Amino acid sequence: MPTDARHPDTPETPKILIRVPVRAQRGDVFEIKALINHPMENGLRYDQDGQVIPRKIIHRFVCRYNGEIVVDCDWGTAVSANPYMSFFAVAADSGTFDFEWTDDDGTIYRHSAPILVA
Amino acid sequence: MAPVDRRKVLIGSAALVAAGFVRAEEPLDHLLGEIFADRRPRPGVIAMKLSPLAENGLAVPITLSVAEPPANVKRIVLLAPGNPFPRAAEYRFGPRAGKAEISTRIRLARSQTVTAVAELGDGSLWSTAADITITSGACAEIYDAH
Repeated sequence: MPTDARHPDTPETPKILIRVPVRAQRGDVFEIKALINHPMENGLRYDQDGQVIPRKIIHRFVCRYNGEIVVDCDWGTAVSANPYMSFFAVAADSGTFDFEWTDDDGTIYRHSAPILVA
Repeated sequence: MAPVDRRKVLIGSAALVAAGFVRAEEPLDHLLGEIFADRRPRPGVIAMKLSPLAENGLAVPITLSVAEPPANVKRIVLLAPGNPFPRAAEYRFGPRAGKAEISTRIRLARSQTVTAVAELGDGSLWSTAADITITSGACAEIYDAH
């Protein structure tokens, strides 16, 4: 990903924090928490030289469990910097949770977490 | 936290509006029209947890939950009519969702009534709303252009 000079605060690989239970019983409903480091620049701010800091927003977040959707979200500028979300999944089979954040510049940040279902 | 002088806040807000620094709140009905055409939600089914007071509007915790199985919820639309871009977020649930509930943190440019609308599988619309007072300079921090 090309470093964006207008968004010097955005790391090339943002830090991602995920909380998914390590194991669960089939049918269990459990909470998942996901946080990503990102400025969620709303395009309304000016820098010190009076230039508009261009918009840079993660506008979509999707979580899949073994390929099937848990949640699929469209985010706007009203979502806070370092966007955090918690939601609920239902345990089906052992496998993987895949998390996907799509940035305005097209970059997709990915993360995954395994789960063992008894 | 210092107690808020209601009169000062009111006079201050009025002055900001008069000076044209703050855009008038986009009417909720106009927003709903953009999203749902001529359909309008009735109150109920969806619940919102939002603090009535926040020191600043940079990261306000909010929880939205629909008292329906997630498979029966087409989407939840979150609206912040007092923000420069009032369409805050939209949440859809897939086959692996365990509950039609999410928590997140949102930016609020100023005190306003936050509204959430749930669209169910049968196309019915349900809404809930909550007032929040932002006590200090979130505007200046988020929208320092003004």
